[in-house]
Amino acid sequence: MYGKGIAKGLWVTLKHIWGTYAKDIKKFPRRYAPGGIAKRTDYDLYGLFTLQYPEERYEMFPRFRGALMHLRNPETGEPNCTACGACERACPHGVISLEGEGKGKDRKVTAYRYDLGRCIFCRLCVESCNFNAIELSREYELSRYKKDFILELDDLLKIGDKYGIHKTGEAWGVTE
Amino acid sequence: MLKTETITINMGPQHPSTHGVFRMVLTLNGETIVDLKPMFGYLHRGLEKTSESRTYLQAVPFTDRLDYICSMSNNFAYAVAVEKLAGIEVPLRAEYIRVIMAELTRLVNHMLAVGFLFNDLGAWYTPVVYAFRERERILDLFEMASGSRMMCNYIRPGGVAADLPAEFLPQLRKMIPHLENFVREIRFYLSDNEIFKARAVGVGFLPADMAVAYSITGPVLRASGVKYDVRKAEPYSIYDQFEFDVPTQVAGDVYARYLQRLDEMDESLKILRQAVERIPDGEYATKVPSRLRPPKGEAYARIEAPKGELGFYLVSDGSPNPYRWRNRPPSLINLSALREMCLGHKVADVVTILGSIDITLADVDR
Repeated sequence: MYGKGIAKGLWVTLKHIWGTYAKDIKKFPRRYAPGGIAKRTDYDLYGLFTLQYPEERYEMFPRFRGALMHLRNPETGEPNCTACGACERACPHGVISLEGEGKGKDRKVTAYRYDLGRCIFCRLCVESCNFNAIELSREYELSRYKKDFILELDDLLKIGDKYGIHKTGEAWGVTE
Repeated sequence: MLKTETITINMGPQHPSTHGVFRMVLTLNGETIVDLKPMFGYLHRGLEKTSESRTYLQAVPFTDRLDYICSMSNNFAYAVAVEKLAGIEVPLRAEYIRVIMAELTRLVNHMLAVGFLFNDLGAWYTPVVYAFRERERILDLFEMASGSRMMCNYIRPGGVAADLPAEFLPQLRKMIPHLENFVREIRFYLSDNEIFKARAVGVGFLPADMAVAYSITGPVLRASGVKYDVRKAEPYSIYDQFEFDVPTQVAGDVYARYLQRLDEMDESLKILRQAVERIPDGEYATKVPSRLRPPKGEAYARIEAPKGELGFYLVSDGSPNPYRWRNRPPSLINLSALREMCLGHKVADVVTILGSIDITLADVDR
């Protein structure tokens, strides 16, 4: 019968529209109440939903790969980095460049430049690190008003302070 | 006496329905296509040459960027090639994780292929959004496991980057019935659509012998009636331990390719069900040095990527960098038959046929 397929399509679309708003009609407080994201992203809910960004945000997964950060030693408050240069060699794009001073155990990082504009967030630098010095943060709003995409050591430590972790790879199940 | 001439027009590179920066030079007789010349290379990034100056591990993120819709499959093919070159054994759990990821990628790709085919036909965004909703759930799983939705960099030579998080498998088990439901729903509301059938049945016919002659692979080949699947023809990884069929169609037109993709989604879900049930505990990777130096030699490994046969050819000269890093992209080779499919059709059909081949321009140009 001509037109049957089109009618079926419209029926499914209608079902989706109903599913999108049914939860609202059934439940008050409404859709954009706090804690509503979990309810709306529930798999058994039929229909589409929109996240009202930036008022609402998803919580990122623990493994989310965002901008690089530097970690501190919890006792001394100094950066864990020993400027061994493993991350510099592991990076496929030459995003990282660093300088350090001192020999052996006293070696410390003095300058660390991380080019955010060229980073592809592959996490190979973190995997190469043996000193729990760097980790990828969950920062994803990385746009800038100026062309200052090169983050120095202080900027990276500032991001690291937000997360308060001192070890690499806890979310990944690989700690050394 | 009436004098007629053909006209030549450009379609693309900035055309909404060419799936990227792809240009076609069409020679038209009225509305009918007399000749078609595909022009590509607008997205050429030199990934093959760039990868030759990187180590084997550093090239893994580049494979994500070949076909950005199915990055896990690209990782997989590259990892298999490196393992073949260096003779690395992979733990069983890693193989299961790889199969799960590859089949999820196939689902993602076919969702997009079907959705965007309808987008090209003018069903503006309704099927795509329904597909995107399910795809986003799968990409959430990818993000949970690898940290990134699309640029996964997860499957590495020797295994995978990290073990699956604890909530991954329960979430996947919960998802599989919903994905089956999604495929059923697509069949219910799109397969019988009269407008779609009028545009798709009999359009872009590709006979089986021509498909073989052009070395077309993947759903396009199987829609022409050739039962060829690398997973069955030359089993890699642990695909010989799963029970699944290789569906084929007879017609070889746009409609058959659409049905073929839906059938393959069902088969992928079958494999996923078995893999989730049987996944063992154990190691997730063999330790591979970051500056891997494979012995001198060459290796070619191929897998059944969602778009067709994806191969990597690597030549090692004993140094940490590959001497030659060559990729056989399914999109480019499937695209080579575009002219044959389009000849004699109308201009509007070109868009449909291109959508039914399902290309990614990043994979074509590399």
